[in-house]
Amino acid sequence: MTAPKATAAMPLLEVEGLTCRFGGLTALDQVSLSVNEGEIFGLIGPNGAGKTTLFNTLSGVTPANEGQLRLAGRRLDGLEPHGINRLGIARTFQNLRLFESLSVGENVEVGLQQRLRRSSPGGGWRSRRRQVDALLELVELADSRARPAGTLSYGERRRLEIARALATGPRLLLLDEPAAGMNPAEKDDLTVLIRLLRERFALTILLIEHHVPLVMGLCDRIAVLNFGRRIALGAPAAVRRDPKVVEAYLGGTT
Amino acid sequence: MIDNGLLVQMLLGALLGLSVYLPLAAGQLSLATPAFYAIGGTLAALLSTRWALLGGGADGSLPLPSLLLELLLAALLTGVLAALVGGLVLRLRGIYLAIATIALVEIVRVAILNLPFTGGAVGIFGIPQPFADASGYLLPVLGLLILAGWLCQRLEALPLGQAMAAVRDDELAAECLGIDTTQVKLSAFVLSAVLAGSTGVLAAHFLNTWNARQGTFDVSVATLAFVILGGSRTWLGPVFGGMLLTALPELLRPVGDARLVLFGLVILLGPVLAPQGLITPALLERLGSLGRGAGR
Repeated sequence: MTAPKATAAMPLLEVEGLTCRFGGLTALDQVSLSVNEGEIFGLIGPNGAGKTTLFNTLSGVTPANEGQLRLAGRRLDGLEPHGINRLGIARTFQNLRLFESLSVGENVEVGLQQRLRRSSPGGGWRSRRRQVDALLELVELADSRARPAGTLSYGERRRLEIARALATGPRLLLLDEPAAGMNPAEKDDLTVLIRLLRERFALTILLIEHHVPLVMGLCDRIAVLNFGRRIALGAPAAVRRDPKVVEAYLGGTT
Repeated sequence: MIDNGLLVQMLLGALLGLSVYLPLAAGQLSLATPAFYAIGGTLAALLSTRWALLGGGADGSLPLPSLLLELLLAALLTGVLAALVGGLVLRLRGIYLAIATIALVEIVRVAILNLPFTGGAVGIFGIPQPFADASGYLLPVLGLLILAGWLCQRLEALPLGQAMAAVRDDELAAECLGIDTTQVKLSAFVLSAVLAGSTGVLAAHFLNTWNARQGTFDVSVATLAFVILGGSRTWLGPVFGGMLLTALPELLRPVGDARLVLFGLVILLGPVLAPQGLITPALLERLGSLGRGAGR
């Protein structure tokens, strides 16, 4: 396994025996995994495997029935989503959830709020313009700052969601299908962007993605979910050869 | 056609419209405005008629500082009440919140009707007047409206106002961005209550009498109509809607009984012809660019 360059021993995110049920359906069944600091970690699996449910429990949107979640050793269970975000986990949404009536810049400003309040009460809010500009520059939306978010194209919306999540100053960024609906050129750009984000913000990134070449090329490690269970975990090359994964997901293409 | 008395009523209507608008700007359909309006009015009526220290004279006058003190006390009382009640009812969403706030209006109405010191069905009358005639009320009512309008305008650039808009657009996304949405909704609810309570104080003195019928479900519906007709996306909408719908029944008096039909038609046709309300951000933008064009 090609180890990420971050300190190998210290996992930033620990998921232990996570179980999540909706009535009779077990969406997550004793899932355990840990993500190291600085890693880009991929989460793949067929539709309905529990990937987004895992994101929802990590971000506090859905409470887990059993198991533990820890960020840098601190327990996350029982916290509301805004509390979890303030601890350093930010996310994007599979089915885009921008603030449509606000401008592109205001969407990012909403993300900046808590961070500015933490760092320098009162005065921080004034330096927001610079920070918003920097973030929009990064996702190539600087020219669209004043446009209503509702008028952006699909790929632009995905990038704005990333900028908005970054504005909250996370240590761990959860990306839910960031490349969905993008054309091949946009997907290549996205790969470059995600690598850049890791460098620039010393981020750890956990991403769900269906586009296999993108995941294989980008991620240090991959976990595969199927029917709520983790069926494989490891480096892309090893996961790709795993017979259980081939059967469940990749469909024998290798 | 519009005398000073009607103008004061129109401005009071605009204030109540803003009170409904504030929670709505955070996506919360609260109909509690009449409850806090009634509490503010009752407080003013009780204090100025029962508390000699305020200086309500035998000639029915009231010193101005006493009015300011009443406003302050009403703002405090309604603000604290709203914080307590809001903590409970704001867990509800959408139509359930609306129903819970209707219940609050009803509780306050029945309480004012039955409490031993609020005058029962007759209410409290002979409320001292800080001003000699209706025109005297124009200044404080307009002052409160300007203050409220300035606050609403200012909010748009402040963290709280942006968080309110974010909660309105997508509450879950706002939560995941570290916004304490419960606190944001509660802040909007408290602001709304303080505004309604202060409006009640001015209204009680202006009307000279106060009773339980001032804050009923009918008022909930009327004030909601202010916002829906005027438009809920900018604070000017409820101001315009409140003034128009307060004035209309009076202005239509010459047409006799048909005025009620006309009034109903306006309420019906407004949302049909202008679903976003009469005053929309797009309209303001067009007017703004027209103004800039003319100025050149």
